[in-house]
Amino acid sequence: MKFSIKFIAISFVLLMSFTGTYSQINFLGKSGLVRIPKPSFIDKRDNIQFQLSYLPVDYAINNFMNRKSNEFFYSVHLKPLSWLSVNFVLTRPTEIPRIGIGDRHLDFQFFILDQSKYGINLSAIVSPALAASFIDHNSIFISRSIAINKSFNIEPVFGYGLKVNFRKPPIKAKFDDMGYQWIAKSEFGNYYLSGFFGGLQINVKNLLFLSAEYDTQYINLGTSFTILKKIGVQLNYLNFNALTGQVSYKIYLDKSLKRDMKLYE
Amino acid sequence: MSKYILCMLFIVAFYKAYSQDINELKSVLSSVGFEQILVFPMSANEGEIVYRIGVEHRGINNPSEVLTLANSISERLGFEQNKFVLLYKGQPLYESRILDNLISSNNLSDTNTRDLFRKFSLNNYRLNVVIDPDIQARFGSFENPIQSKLSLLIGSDIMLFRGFSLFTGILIPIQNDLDNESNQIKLGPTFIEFFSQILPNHYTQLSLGLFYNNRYGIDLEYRFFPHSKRFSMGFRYAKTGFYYFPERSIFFDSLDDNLMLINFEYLFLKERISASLDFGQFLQKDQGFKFSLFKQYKNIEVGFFSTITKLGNNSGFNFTIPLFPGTFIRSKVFELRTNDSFRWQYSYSNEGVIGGDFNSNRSIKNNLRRFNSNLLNTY
Repeated sequence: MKFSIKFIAISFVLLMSFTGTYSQINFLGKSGLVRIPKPSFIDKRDNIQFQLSYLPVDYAINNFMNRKSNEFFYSVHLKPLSWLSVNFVLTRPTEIPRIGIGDRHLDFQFFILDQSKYGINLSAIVSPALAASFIDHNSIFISRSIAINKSFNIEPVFGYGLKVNFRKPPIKAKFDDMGYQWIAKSEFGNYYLSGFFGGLQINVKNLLFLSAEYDTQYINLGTSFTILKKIGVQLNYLNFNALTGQVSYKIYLDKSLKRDMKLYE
Repeated sequence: MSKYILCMLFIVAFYKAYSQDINELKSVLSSVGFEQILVFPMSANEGEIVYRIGVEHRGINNPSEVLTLANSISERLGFEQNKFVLLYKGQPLYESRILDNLISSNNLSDTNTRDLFRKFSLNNYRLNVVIDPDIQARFGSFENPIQSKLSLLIGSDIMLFRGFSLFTGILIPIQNDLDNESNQIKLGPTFIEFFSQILPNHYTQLSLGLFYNNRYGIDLEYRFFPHSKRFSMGFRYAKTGFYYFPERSIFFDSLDDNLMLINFEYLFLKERISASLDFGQFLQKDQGFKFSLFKQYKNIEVGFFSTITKLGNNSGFNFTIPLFPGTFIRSKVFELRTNDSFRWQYSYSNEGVIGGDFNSNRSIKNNLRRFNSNLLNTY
């Protein structure tokens, strides 16, 4: 036992010595805590970010053919404008024989207000009603980053996710009107971000992040840090019960990728 | 008499020193991948000779980087305040000058263009062999969720004369569970292509042969592209048919598919986003609209598109990226490298082809976009 604590302590120090600027992202690949999003961004440079995250069966979100399984989320995140980010997610339940490569999800996050100008960060997420319905969420949320001292920042996040979605009813459901309409998300087995959610994130020098949140279903804890300057690692403790993790990788788009340029810069 | 000899000697020595400097500049530029380096002395500026230098670099997909690289090298060798003329397939586009890290560009005058034409030589090109993976994939089949076809295209743009090239290559199949094309090494896309600037800011490109995406025929594109303005427009007409390679033969479908598209494009400079609208007839007589947004990053272009046509709706994204690791071999006459602008597209719907297109990595609509001179200072 002593040995393992030592080992953890040493490896943690090692990991910390490799870290670079990063910001914590949630399991969908967006700026956020563990499962909830947040309206602020730390990394201002243009980048594209890839993430792989894992949810165990008890907390799985994809309910394809009314079955759940351990699942992986593959996501790509791009922020083409200062006020807009695009996130593409592919979910793959691991134990369900299924059609296709997984369900696809696309959402847009609008960064409406910024703390440096308005004192708070305000942001909204819109999921266009495409094929996968289990993860669609439309929400609005605020935060404010408060500096405790030089190295500590604390950021409370608070928001509301719509309990309904504007889309066509499920194929087998009995609806009079089969066109686009407001339908309760629970009809699709979707309980993700339905109602009020909130959380608290502690940011240590933009290097280490500690989060606690209520995501409308569970209370989760999470921590994230960066290794080898480019790889983000996050460990989460869902509902004080299940340990999960995620790994992300960033490519910066504002520097040259050409070798000839590097020779003469 | 001795005065004359002295004078002659001085002139010869001066000329030799001058040409040596130029040769050094040319060889250094060439060693980092520049081709068609055309150097002209311009009017002497306060005793210093200033040069106009035509440059082309086929391995760097960002003209801003091409200019800064050429400028930093020539400044290092003592050539300052030069003007650079960007060439595309040996055809001059416009001239630029870098002062205090700011690139300013203007149109080239007729006499200067003729000068460049005079110095143009095919010997200034390398044989540029490009390794380019050809990835086609279809997702979502019940039996086989990821159907894919992977091949390696080893091809080259062989310049025949100014603006005129023959592209050809071999296609090495690696894996295929998408269609029933044979698994032999076969001829890659092979076509001739003629690019020219018919009037200042008016460009055309005519291609003929076996194209990408299993299309053969003729492809004509015109584009009005004022490099300093944000608006550009063009049209494209292509008469094509389908071809593929079954076992040990080649199959040609009839040549009766007309593609007729009009395009308008506007550049939002601050965001480096181009909004582009195509409408008309796509492949397979599919008529409708295609709206796209392209965002320019330093070496990467990311696009989102949405199509509404008679055959249905579709949307997706595409990207153009330089492939790792870049140049393998580079000598004076030969270069082997990976593609600097590999283009791939993902469509949400896989039910047939909606708003079908071909040869999109060769079209001047896509290739001139980066040459907007407003963009050069924004990266």
